[in-house]
Amino acid sequence: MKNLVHFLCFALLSLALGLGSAYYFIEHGFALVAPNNGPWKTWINAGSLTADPYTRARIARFGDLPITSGSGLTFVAKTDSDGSDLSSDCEYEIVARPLSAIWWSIALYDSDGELIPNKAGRHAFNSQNLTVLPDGTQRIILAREARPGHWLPSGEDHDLTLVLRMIRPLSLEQQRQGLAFQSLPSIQKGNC
Amino acid sequence: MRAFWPWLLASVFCAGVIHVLTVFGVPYLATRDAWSRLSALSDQNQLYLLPIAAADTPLPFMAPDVAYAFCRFDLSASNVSLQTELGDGSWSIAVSGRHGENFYFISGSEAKRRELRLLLVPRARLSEEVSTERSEEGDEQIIVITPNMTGIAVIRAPVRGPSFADDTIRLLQSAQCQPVIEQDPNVIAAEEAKPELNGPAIIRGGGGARRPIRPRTRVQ
Repeated sequence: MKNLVHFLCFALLSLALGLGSAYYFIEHGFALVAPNNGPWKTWINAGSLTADPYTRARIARFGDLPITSGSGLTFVAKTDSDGSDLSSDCEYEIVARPLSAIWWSIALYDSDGELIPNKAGRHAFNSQNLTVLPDGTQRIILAREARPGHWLPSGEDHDLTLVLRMIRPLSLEQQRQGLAFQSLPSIQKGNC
Repeated sequence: MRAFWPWLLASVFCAGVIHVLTVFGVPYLATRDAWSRLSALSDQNQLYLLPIAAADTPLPFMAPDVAYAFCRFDLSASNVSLQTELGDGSWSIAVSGRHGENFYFISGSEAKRRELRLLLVPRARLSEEVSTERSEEGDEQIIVITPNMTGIAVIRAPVRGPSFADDTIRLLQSAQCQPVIEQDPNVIAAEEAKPELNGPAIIRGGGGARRPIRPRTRVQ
C-alpha cells in the first residue's frame, strides 16, 4: 500500500513538473529564446530553419507564421516601461524614435490577440502614417476617449497587448555587428 | 520520508523526460498550427486574400495595417509559380515550410522591380529540373528551392492608411499562385519539329496557356 502511494505521488509529480514546465517555457520563453528589450519581448529564433525546439513548439501551438529575425522582427509588450500590466483603465504614451527598418508598425490588441472594436476603425500606426514631431520623436496615445495626435482607442475593461513589427529591421552593417535590437519605443503610463 | 527520496529523484528525472518529449512533440501533434488553420479556408496552389483588420482572423495577432494573401502550395505534382505586382518597397513575400520555418524572404525594396515572379521548385526534384526547365520570364523570374513539397507563401502588403486599403487590395487581387505544368519533352520536341512552331518552345501554365520560353538565370 505504501509503495502504491509512493508510485502515485511519483506519477503525479512527474506529470505536473514535466507538463507544467513545458507549458510555461512554451508560453513565456526564457532569456535565451525570448529576450526582453524594455517591455518588449521577441522570440528571436522564430521562423528560422534552425529554430530551437521551444520556439518551434510555440509557433505550432499558436499558429504563427513568422519570418526570420533578419527579415522581420515581432515584439510583444504586455506591460509598460515600468513593468505594470497594460490595461484599458489607464492612458499610455508610446514614444518612439524613427526605427531603422523598411517598414514598422505598432498595433493594439486585447490580451487574447483580438482587435479592439472602435468607431474610428483605428488599430495601428506605422512608419508610413506616423508623423515625426519637432523633437524627433513619434508619439502614439492609448486612451479610451479621443486624443489629439496619433490616438489608438483602448476600449474598456480589458488588458492590452501591443505588437511592434519591423520589416528588415537591421542594416547589413548591424547584421555584421550582431546588433539584434535597436532602441525600441518606451511605453509611459499616464492617467488611470 | 526517507523511503520517498528515490521516488522523488525518479520523478524529477521522469519530469525532465516528459518535458523534452512534450516540447519536441508539440509541432507534430498541434492541430491548430498555421497550416491547419489556413487549410480550413483554402485549397492548395491557389492564392487567397484575407480581409484587412477583420475581427475574426485565421491566424493570431495578424497586423491590422497589412493586407495578407497566402498560398498553400503542394509541389508533389508540379512546380508552382507565384506572381505579384509590388505596390512599394514595404511589400514582401515570405515562403515557409508547413511548420513555420521561413526559408525565403524578399521585400519590394530589395526586388528593385515592379513585378515579381517566384518559381517554387522542391529540392528533391532540383537535379531533374534546373538543367532542363525554361521560362519565359528569364531574368525576371526567381527560382526558390523548397526543402519540402508543401508549405505556405505569404504576400504582406502594408496599408498606408484606411483610405489606401482599396488600392492595396486591388493590386493584391492581381497576384497569382498556380501550378506550372511542363509539357512532356517528347511532345515539345515533336511540336518544335512542326514547321508552324519553329519558334520558341512552350510550356503550359496553370491556366493551360501555352507560353514561349527562354532560359532562366536566377536561382536562390
